[in-house]
Amino acid sequence: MTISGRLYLAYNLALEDLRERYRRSLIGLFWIPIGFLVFAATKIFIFGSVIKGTGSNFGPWLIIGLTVWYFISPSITDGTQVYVKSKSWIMSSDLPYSTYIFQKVIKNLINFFILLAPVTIIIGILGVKFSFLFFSMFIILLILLTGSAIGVSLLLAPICVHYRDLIHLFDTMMRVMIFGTPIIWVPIKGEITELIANINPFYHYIQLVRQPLLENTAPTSSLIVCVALTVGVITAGFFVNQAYYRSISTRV
Amino acid sequence: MVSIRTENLSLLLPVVNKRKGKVNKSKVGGRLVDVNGRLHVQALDNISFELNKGDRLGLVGHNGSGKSTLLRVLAGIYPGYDGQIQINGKLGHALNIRLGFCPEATCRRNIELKCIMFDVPRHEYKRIEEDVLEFTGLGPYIDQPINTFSDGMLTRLAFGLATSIKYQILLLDEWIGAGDQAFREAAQTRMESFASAEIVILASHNRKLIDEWCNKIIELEHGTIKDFTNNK
Repeated sequence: MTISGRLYLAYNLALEDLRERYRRSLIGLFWIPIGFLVFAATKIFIFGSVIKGTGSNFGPWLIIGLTVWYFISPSITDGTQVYVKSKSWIMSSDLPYSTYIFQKVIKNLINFFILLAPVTIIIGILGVKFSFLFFSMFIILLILLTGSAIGVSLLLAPICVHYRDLIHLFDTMMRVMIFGTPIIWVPIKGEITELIANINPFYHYIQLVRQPLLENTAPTSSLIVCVALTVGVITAGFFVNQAYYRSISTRV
Repeated sequence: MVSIRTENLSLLLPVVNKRKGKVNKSKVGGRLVDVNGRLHVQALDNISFELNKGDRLGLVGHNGSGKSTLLRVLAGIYPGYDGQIQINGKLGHALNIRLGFCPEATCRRNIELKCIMFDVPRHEYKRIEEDVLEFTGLGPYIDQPINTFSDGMLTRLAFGLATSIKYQILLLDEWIGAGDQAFREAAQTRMESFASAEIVILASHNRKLIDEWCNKIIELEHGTIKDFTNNK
């Protein structure tokens, strides 16, 4: 099967994932932005008055961070489970297993794109200006997020087939990391929060678009970190996946 | 030229959550072996055979003797085998009616997904859908989710799909024995026309069916070839 054929199959399987989740729901995929906006509004209401560091920008700060997080978090949790969850397909076809990784990445990209329209309108209303720098960084973010999601899945999916506890460990870790990542809090220059933010890889992915939008400056250091992480995780994922490949269907 | 050749084909499957030191004296299942301190089943052991155009191979043996595992290895599902496999020809299979479908999706959508999965040209989708429906009689249920289907209906769908898409080599696991009498007769007729110029490998407990239908028979026990018969 050609790579385009596999991507087309992965896209169709991703659509089935989404249809299955929202089947028999009256408003279906509209639950994605509704759930997001309710969550974001609640966080802004609760934390907006106590957070220091962004002034009146806390709304856009949180919404932009949360939008990127809505891709990062399921990419990692899906990445750990993709082979285990695809058992039915793995045990019934000889398709390369990366097809199922593409399926999950495409599903998360569709979710992400569904969020973009309402998010763009809301942060526009809140006074955020969209510059050429932002659009350039947004395209780079998409490429790096997609690459990283594929790399993380290649790395974690085969390991988690063998060590199932890791699925739950990563699930728990991602629930914690939403609080450990500067989304609902703001790092203060010179304080410990700045260090915590800088050693957190997720922060740098978010900064790729948040910094151009809120400060209109290029996120050079975050870009370097994200490119290095993406290349690193894809390389490590490739080798780990190759090492485990032959044993996946006997363990899944 | 359509052909299959295997040479010294072996497969170890890991045993999860089983105590070491147990010796399998039963006819069921493969030999238990210790590999680097971990328990494995010798699911297939030195399987060699060759099939050419027109051959119909029947696999017989006890439960766990390796029939389904051999089909899965040939289908490319277990890539971690030792030995050689050479397959010339487009290979299709229908090995488990519960696997490889989207249970929540409709019958129509599942047919479409299978067509995409097996790289069928888009203009062929409609022909395959019509062929599957004509053979299976599932027309009235085409827009029903397949999780509402009975085992018999799923068997019809899976068998219909496997024989509608044009393969040169077809692997079937316990198919013709499944379903009701009408289906078994229809399936056998369909297989006769399908198998006239291709290779079919069929695993079944129905020895009478295998004897009548196959020109080569392999009896498996503990993952090894116990007997190879040229039937006709």
